[in-house]
Amino acid sequence: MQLEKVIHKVKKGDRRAQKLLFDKYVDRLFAVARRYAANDELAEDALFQAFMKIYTKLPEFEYINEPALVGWLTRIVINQTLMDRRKELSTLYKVETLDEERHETSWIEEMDDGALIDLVNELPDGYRTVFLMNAVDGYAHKEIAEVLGISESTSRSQFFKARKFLQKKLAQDYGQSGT
Amino acid sequence: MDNLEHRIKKAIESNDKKTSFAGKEQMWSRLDSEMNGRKGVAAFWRIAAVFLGLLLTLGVVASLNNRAKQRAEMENVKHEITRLQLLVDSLQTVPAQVRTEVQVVEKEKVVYRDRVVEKDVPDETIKWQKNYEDAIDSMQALQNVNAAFKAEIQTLNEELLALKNHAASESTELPQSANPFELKSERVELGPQQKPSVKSPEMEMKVFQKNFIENRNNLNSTIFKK
Repeated sequence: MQLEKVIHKVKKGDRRAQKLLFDKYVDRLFAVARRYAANDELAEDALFQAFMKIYTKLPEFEYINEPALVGWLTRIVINQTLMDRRKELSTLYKVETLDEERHETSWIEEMDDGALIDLVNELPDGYRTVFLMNAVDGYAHKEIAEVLGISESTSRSQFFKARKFLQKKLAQDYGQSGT
Repeated sequence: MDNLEHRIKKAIESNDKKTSFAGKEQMWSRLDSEMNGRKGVAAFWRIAAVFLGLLLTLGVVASLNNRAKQRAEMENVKHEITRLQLLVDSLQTVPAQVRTEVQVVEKEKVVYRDRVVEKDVPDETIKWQKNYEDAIDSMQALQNVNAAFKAEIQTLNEELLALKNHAASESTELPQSANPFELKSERVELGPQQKPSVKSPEMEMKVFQKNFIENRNNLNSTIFKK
């Protein structure tokens, strides 16, 4: 069945179409939730709530193409996951400070995916969230500020601090760093 | 975008594709029950709302009907009050009249007679029998009245005949004693008043009592002592 038809049927409350949509995107969205949640359990709860929102709000969504749908679903999951952590994250952003120093790396392309993900997971929560939202999920700093309840400049500085942290870690662990 | 971020994004996207959510079926059953439950509740409230709306509409219609009925009844009552008021007014203007009715009640004579009473007969038959007996009784009463009237008529006829005879006998006697006295105008010279004296012992003045009721006009036996 075409995705557009599935979406149309979900909007009408068709149970079979709802199941199809769930099966198609649950894995990807769980990965997104897990990326932002503190643990798998919280990610699962957030995903459940996110799906409830998806089915409720889908009638308002206008289908254009699949990437737009995936972006919309991803944002719902991210927002839902971060909703509970908003207060916790906003305190982190006030406490932590790092220098805004830029380092360029040229050897990162050859690094293993797992090692990179582990490296990202080592980031402090505040940095990691802003970094992932901006670098991976394409949120603008303004949007990040709205979602997390912080100022846009804070989001921006947090991103750069995260970046610096990663570069520093890379230099320490792999003995290489670039400008 | 910087190289590092680009590389991390690729790594994460690649990792996302490999991710498989183990609790998929459990989550779907939770979602399904939650959504169907909500649907069930929504359907219940929808039906309840329709039912309540229907009840409300019926209530409104009934109250309107009742109100219209009461209004019509009020109009009728007002009309009746006006009519009675007019009647009372008209009666007040009519002068009081006394009407006397004389009712003659014949003393009923109790008549005993044998009567056969059938049992287990239909009501209609009993009714007809009763009507028949009533009719017989009425006829008997009428016959009695008729006989009484006939007797009275006979008596009255006899009295009338007697009166006629009497009148006839008196009319034959009258010419013999007609004009026993003849009144003539005569001039009388009255002298000095004297004590009346009876010249003839055969003639005596009789003074009638005040409550004299005798209707006989036999002057020979009253005035003259004969």
